[in-house]
Amino acid sequence: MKFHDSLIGAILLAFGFWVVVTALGYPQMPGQSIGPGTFPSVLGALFIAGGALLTISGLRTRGTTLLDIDPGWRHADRLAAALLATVGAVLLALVFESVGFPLGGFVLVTALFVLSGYRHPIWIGVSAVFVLAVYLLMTRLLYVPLPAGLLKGIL
Amino acid sequence: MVLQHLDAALELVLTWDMFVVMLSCALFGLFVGAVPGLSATMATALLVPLTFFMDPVPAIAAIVATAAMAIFASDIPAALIRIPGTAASAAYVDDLSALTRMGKVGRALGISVAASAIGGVFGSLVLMFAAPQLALVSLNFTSFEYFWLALLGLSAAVMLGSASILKSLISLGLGLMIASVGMDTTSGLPRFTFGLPSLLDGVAFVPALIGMFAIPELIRTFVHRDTVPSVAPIGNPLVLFRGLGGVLWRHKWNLARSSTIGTTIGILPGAGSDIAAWISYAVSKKFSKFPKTYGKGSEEGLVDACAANNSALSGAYVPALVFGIPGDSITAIVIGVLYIKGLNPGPMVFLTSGDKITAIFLVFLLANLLIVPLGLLAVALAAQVLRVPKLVLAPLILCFCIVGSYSIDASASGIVIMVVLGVLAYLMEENGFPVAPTILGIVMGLLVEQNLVTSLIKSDGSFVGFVERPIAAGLALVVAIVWTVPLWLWWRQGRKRSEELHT
Amino acid sequence: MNSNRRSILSLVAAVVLGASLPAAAQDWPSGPVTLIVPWSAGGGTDATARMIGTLLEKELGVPVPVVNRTGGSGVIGHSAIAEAAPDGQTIGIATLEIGSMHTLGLTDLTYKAYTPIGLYNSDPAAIFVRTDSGFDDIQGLLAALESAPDREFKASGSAQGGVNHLALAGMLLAAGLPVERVAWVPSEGAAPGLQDLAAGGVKIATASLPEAAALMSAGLIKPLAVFANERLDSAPDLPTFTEATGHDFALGSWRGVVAPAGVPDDIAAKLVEAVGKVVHDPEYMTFMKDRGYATQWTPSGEFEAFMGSSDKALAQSLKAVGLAKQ
Repeated sequence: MKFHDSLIGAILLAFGFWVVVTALGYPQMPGQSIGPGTFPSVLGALFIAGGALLTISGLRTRGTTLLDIDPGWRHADRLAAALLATVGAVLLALVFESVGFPLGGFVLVTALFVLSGYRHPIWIGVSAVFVLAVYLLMTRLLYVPLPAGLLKGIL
Repeated sequence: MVLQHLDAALELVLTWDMFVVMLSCALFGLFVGAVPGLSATMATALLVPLTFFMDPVPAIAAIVATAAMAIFASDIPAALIRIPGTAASAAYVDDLSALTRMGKVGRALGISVAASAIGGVFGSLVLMFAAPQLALVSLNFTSFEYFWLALLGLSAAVMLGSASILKSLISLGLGLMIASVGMDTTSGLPRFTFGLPSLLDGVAFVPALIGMFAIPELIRTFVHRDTVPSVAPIGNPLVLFRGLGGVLWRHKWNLARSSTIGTTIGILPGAGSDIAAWISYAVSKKFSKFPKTYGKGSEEGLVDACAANNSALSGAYVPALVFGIPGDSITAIVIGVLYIKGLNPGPMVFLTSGDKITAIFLVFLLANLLIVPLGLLAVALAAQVLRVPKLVLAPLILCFCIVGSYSIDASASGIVIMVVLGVLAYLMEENGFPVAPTILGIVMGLLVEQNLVTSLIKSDGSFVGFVERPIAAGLALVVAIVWTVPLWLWWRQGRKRSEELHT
Repeated sequence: MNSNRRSILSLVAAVVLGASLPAAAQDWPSGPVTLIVPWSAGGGTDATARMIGTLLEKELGVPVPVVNRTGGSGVIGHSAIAEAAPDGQTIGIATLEIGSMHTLGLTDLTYKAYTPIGLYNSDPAAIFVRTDSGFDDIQGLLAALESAPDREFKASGSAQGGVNHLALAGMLLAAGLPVERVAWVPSEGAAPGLQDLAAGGVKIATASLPEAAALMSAGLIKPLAVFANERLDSAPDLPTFTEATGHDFALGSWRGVVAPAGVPDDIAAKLVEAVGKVVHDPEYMTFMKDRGYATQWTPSGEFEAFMGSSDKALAQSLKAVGLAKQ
């Protein structure tokens, strides 16, 4: 997913202005001339300068498209797998405490196997054994309190 | 002071019981470190409850062996699936995984094992013979010096990449920006949190590290299936390490140089193995005959960064033992254990408990030597993971990423941070923005800002204070050279080109 | 030798036991009890918390990891304790700053956000200079401050509005000097502030005596006076500020164990009992005495009353030095 440099530059420029405006709005510390906004405004200035340079150099190299998408994204199953691995993981995070890791992890891994073309029932077993092994290892041996969620009482 | 206590110290260290304690703790550290997303700090903290049943020397030995091994072991997932375990290993993760793709996983991790051990042994020896004297040097560093040192580390990250300097600089800025999210450390004001309470503590580093390296790799595995290069098959595990000795011998001066840089930076309580690894990697690239290979599987860069990383870890114990000032969370834990065992850190402990302190130094030495056999064994075993097709591995890696991001403070917001920054990293890499400077920015943002703000308060906002002290001025000069020389070369090249065009 | 063998056995035993603990334990504590420290590793709060954590581990039979949540002038760590689930699995150390942070306008958090467990220590602050600074006593330093321009002297030792900042500001006011005379450089705790003093980054630092012990025994820094009502047993040669200068001023930090508000009464009672046992443990007593920390034990209700009065006193002194939020 390649964006044109001038587009990235413009986004950075806008971002830089937003950072500077936000940072300048922060209050000063009592009795000090420096405040919590000092450092972020320096960074904002860096983004403004960097964004401007990038936009200019991008405009000089004309001829390329504004957005260049890798052909892989046109396969529905690959797109679905990538979305599941990112958006799906975020959704899992939102219900992590209630659904729990063992069940949520199992569903996520199995679905990814299916979307990647591993559809034989044996892969359901692989996914179940793997997730359960990770769960037991973390909770029993390393004291990481992974939530059991819906499977509480069973595990 | 070391030699006169050597006999008594050896008696404390060379026992079967010590051997068993160190070996079992080393195996434990190896295991925790090799699981992607689990940190050396976690392994060490888990061990503390066990240490109060032990005598002082075995207690410290247990912690040191665990920490040293876990830090090395985190290079294993870095090489195999490109998830670095520490900010220091983010400096050379691309070289590790590039070598792995070339089918040289044994060589890559073999260098990591050997260079880590050599750097660690060097640092331990320095610790043994000069800790009290060197600790005094470390006390010459105020916020001014730390500011320049941090800036030097950041400049190294910008300059050493293979990407354009402008894009590297923007990447670094993004990292510093991410670091400033959350409650400001000097005033307590929440910044850039969008009202989300889970962002008040800032963006957790471990989820960021996991996400920014692993998620782009996963997306590419799923989507760019046709263009992702396949990993060369591995044969007999015993031939994995062929040629390793030659590589190390060729780079013997690199080893010496980087161990020195690493120990020197490690001694400073305000700077650690991360800055050491990045600076020494940058120095290595600067003086290398093949700077173009850096980031694409350079064995030389790997030697330098690994040696600096582990020697800095040993160096961190200098201020810890002499002044009780911890350089990182692991040394803080060690200081805690020392207090509990009645070995209160301070200059006096070297006189009152010389035998025990010398024994502890010997333990550092042994722990670093132990890395070699155990590390090589672990590498030979772990390398078998590469036999599994990448597409099968990908969902399982995602699973580890989720667990690792959650476990750092048992909060699901870590998972969200991991994914969001991971997607950002994918977009960055697609567009030629390197990820490594962002990671360094996230780690060092706090250090840079704090030392900048503190220094500005001290100098009443004037720049003169930043270069008044000799060490600060020297570091400032180095930073200036690092920035002006490449720009000047670039400008001169540009002029030459235009002259050629006109003639 | 023998104890070494024991150590291995116990290591194996602890691993085996530890592995089966979370599954077996029904009641509180059900797994590790996290102990949050709002200040940096190596300072006094951290050192005492780590000692308590270690002994509490023995007492409760579960790991008690100590977590340093620094920054925000103590707000981050103190908030983290208050916001944790009130199930007794997370406790923390509250320090004097819980009374000053809200007056400074840094947070809305007060001591009411906690279930008090017990106050275990309070130490007076002392004032330090470098050994080679040329100042031999507090009178000399005050005389130099009197004639110096504003902000020529810089001092450090805690966050903005932290206990050591208040100690310095209070000293200046007591001596009839303006608060602006000395510029305050905020640090994450006493340890980095004292290191900055030793390195020459600042000229004055305020901290409690045990926090400065290692740098003092290295001969790099020296105390000039302690802000206490009488001389300390651990430093009988060091004059109090009042006896040396005739100006009346004393201030010290305090540290106590707290849990989030809303912890069930029976768990709170168990915590009070466990921590109470720990702070009377001979190992703890020796540790505190060796390092020069004062010991005391003021449990639950009395601790809450103490925090209330400390809160009021701080609000008054912050107003006096002009740091209180208008």
